[in-house]
Amino acid sequence: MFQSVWLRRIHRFLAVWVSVAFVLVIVTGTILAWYATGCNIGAQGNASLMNSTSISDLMTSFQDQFDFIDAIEFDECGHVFVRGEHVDYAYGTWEWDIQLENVIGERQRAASVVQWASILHRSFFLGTLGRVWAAVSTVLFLILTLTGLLLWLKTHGFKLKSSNILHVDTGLVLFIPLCILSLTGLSMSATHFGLWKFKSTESTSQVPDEIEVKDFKEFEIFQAHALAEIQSIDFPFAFDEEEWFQVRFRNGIEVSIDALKGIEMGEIRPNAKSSLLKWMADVHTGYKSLGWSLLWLFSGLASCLAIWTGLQIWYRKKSQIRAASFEEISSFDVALVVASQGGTTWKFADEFKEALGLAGYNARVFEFEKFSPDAIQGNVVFMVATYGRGAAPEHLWNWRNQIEGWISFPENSKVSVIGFGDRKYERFAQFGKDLAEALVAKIDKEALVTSHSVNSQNWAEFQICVDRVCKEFALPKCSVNSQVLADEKSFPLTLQVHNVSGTDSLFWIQFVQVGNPSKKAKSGDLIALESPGSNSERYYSLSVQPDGTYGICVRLVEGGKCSTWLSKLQIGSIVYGRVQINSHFHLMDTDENLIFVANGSGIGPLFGMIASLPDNQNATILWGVRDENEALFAETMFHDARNRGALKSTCLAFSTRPRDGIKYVQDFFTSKDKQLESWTDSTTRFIICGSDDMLQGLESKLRICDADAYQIMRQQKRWQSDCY
Amino acid sequence: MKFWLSAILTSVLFFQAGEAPKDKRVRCMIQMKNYDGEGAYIAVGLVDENGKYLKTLHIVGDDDEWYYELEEWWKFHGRKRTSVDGITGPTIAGGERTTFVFDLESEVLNKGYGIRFESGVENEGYYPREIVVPLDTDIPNEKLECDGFIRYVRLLAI
Repeated sequence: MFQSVWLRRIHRFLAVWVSVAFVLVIVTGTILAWYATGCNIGAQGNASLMNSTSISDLMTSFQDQFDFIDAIEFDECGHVFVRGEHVDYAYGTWEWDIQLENVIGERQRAASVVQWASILHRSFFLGTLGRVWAAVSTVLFLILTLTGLLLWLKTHGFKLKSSNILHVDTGLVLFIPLCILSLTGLSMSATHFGLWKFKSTESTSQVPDEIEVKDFKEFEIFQAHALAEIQSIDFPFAFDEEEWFQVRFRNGIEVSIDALKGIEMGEIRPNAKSSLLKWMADVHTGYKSLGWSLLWLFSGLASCLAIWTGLQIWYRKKSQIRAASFEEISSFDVALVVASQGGTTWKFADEFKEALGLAGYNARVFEFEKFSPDAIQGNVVFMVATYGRGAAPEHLWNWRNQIEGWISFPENSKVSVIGFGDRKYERFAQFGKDLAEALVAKIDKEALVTSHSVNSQNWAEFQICVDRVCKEFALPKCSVNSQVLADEKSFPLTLQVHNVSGTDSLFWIQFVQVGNPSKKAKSGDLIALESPGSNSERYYSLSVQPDGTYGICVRLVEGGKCSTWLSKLQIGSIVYGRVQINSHFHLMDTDENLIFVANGSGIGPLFGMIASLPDNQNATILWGVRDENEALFAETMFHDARNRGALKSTCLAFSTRPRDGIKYVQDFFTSKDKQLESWTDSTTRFIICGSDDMLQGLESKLRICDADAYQIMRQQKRWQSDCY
Repeated sequence: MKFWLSAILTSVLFFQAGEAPKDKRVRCMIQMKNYDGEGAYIAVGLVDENGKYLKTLHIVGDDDEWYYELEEWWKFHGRKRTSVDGITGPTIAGGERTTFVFDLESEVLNKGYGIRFESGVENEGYYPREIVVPLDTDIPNEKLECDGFIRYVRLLAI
């Protein structure tokens, strides 16, 4: 598959190649679309009259106004033109007013600007050579649009969304209209050069002698068809035998009518290919309908915008390269080099610079495209945002070439790359990784280049990166944006494994905290863990004990990378996580009657909550596991809680070995358990954690038991659940 | 004497002017044969008794970049490049027909002059003398068969 950089090069090369032709064709095409739109609007205003007037009516209306007529034409704008000798004027082509039944003047050719635009559009005033150039340019233009689309897909995938770059979004919107225009235009060129010919079937018939001669205004065909159906009628040269009317219909059918008897002498009917060619010509010119001409008008204007924005991008790129000057850089301790798509990364760089300034160090922020290390003395931090699904920002498509152009890095200067990205994407912070790799290759000293990553523009993660960079560069610690840090709903947490208990399939890991996190986690919060070598996070419900230790309960999933990794952790192992605050599942300080419900590893956060309950809270816990063995590790914790009155009762359900008909936790609510009968009281609160299936089972059971009580409880928000 | 002479001359001239034949308006139709290829360029011109062009009456084909292909007519027209505005029409392809009108001055009749039709089609051929229609007192009304791309022409005095 093509690399993005090559797609971009082809896209730009073709853009330059066809640009002259493209600009001329688009500008003139827009003029023609404007004219066609005006024409279609005129035709619509005349449509009812054209539909209600027959050819005979029209011919009768000519009366004695013409000595002879050669032809009648009906143009796309709803005008009627009669070519012949008018009794009061000379021979010529006269515009006829159907309503007034009179000549209103000589045929006015299209405005000279339209004629000029037509010739320029078709052949650039270069005849056949120009037509060939136009056709070749159209083919190249099609490739240009396709490469543009492939670039879009490479960057954004199949998800349709705005890129926030006018040139790209306009190009995407124009893709289909411009492809239709190109293909229909090419078909017209192919027809012109005889590569694609109109073909039709012809049939002839004899005119019977016995039929009487009659006035042509009484011919059946002229009485049967309305003007709206007709494109033109050629009159016979003389009303003799072997002379005929030639009637051309708008649908492409041509009929020859005997000049004296009105009998059909022959018919030319276009085949499917010819009809398609005609349709394409009508669509391309916009005369097919007002909708098409308006579409081309819009597309023309939008294309002009795309040309302008494309030129701006090109000019900006050129001027940025020209503006790059690095002589003054040497007076800085740290160069912060930013590559950002939307500009957010600049905020981080500015904060970092300010923090370094407070610590007494000079830093300067540079745009990636303006940066060159050739004249600097100090260390460099690249702060680069990943765009789309792992690419560099749009304007840095050529970043590898830029790096290749750097002559050298100063000796002993250290380089760090902080990649910003989103872990939702498989290639998280990929640009940062690619850049670090390219820098290692460039500097040829792997030890001098370090790489870090920040997820979802998270300030806490950024602070960790800053701490590490400062350590690497032997700088003092700097604090960035402490206000934002305090408000954030996510923060990093480093843990050390303290104890592991449970069975092979369900186990409980206790941790102790390493370092001082920016915020305090609570039971019910989620911790995002990423196993080594994996690019995706897994979330676990966190338990925070009163003594400050943490715990998670893990169900070993067959083939699961994260659970397998966790199951193999040794005591003392360090785990880096990110706490996602989950405030709706925090335990409230309440004297309500608490019923904890969990299945499997959902018990994890409940351990911390129960441990933090005051004595004599008399809460109840319902826990569903596969068998007794899986529950053994929790026995001590439950025992302690019961001893101090925090728990009143512990109800366990074993799905593989049901006891007293209780297989799942919800089954307790149909077993006449006296302790649970009180759930309908207005002071009962449910706190539920586990699988979504369990939650649904519980909800339906409670509805069956007492729908009203259940409904009131939900309305009064005495129901906290965190199930997945 | 002088008076009578001048009176006689004046009346003769007056009488002669009153009898002078009128200019003719002619309607012309060209019917093409069913050939394949591009539209034809056709020059219709007044020629003397030796077949030399005296005047261009009509040109079928409105793109003057191809006029030179009508070689005989171009020898006449190409040097002077007199304006052909108003006497040109679009090319016509195989099977098609076109009609137009031109004026003939009365003095060209009965002098052995004729109306010459010269045609050419890109990459297909060139017929310098499809037909020369003699200009006698009456304009022939019937179909006049031709040699090249034109099947026949018809003329009608109006």
